[in-house]
Amino acid sequence: MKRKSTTVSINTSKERVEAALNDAPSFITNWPYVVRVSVKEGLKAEIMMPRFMFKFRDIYKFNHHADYNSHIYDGTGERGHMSLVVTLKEWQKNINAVLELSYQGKGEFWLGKTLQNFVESIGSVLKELAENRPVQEQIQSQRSATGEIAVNMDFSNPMTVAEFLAKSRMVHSGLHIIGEKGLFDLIGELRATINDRPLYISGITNDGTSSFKVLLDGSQILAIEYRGAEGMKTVKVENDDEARKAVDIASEIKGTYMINVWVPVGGV
Amino acid sequence: MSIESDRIGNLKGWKLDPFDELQRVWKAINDGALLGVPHIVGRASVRNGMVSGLEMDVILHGSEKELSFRDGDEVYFIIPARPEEGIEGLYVKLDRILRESQ
Repeated sequence: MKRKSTTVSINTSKERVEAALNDAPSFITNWPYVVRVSVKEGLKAEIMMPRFMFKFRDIYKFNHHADYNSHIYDGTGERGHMSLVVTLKEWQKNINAVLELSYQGKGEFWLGKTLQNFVESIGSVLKELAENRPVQEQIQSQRSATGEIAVNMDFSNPMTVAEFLAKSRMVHSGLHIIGEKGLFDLIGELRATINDRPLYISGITNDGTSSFKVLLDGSQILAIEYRGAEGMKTVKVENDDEARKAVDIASEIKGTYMINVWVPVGGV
Repeated sequence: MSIESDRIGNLKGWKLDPFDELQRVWKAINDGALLGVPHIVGRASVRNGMVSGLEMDVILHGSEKELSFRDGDEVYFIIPARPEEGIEGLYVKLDRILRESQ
């Protein structure tokens, strides 16, 4: 049996490192020398370790075990056995991860240098995954939070709009002429260039006498407000009846409006 | 163009509808934009982190100027207003300035 080990200092919280380690399939996919990963019947990885002119190829079936500070990836191949133990230690604001890779099988006496490269690369992969990946998760959780704010937005309560705007950005601005029932065409046009699901569209005429606000999730109207010559109409859609009313209000809107589109931050 | 808001300062909310107030001066902003750079100039009363009063007018300047200062509970401000930013864009600017003043 050959053992090689390395230590990496990861500049993030323990939870984030754990999150990267717990997702064994994507962790292993990012290892070097891994040619293929399959998760159909348990986690299997085909690993090809090069040394001189030879390549040691085998398919390992991995099991992942974890306890409070260590993770073990135990791989059984047809011609060998490979296991990686990752031990985490919190050190000041950093996490120190000690990685130990052991291999027993074909070519083990030659593979010392390859295994050392292997374990060092796994260490840097772990560092990269832990430091970068949770940023995406953070954005996603932020996104779902803003999504919730969007769903809770009610135009009859301006504070919910203020709350939404506090975590949004403007992605489109322009003067648009809305024809008879033309708001739906405009929404379609905007949808073609803006990918975010929640959209807040606000329009106002030059003289400020007529304005509207629409909150959309996909193509569905969640809330609408229209101020025109006949006063103000507001609907927050919570059932089919209100959805019909919202569509009726939307079809009344026509004229030349300055349109602004806002999306929750974390989108596009 | 992009406007992005960020939450700084200690402003809890509004006791009045800021969008309503801004809509009232919208025509003046739009008309003014043909002649110069419209600015909203006014005064907001902020007590215990809540905006309880807002008075404003639209004036024209040759260029964009932003200024605000605080006197007790009152915040005086001059904020450039661009029609293409819409009511919401103007609200975000006003909100930011009131937050910064607290």
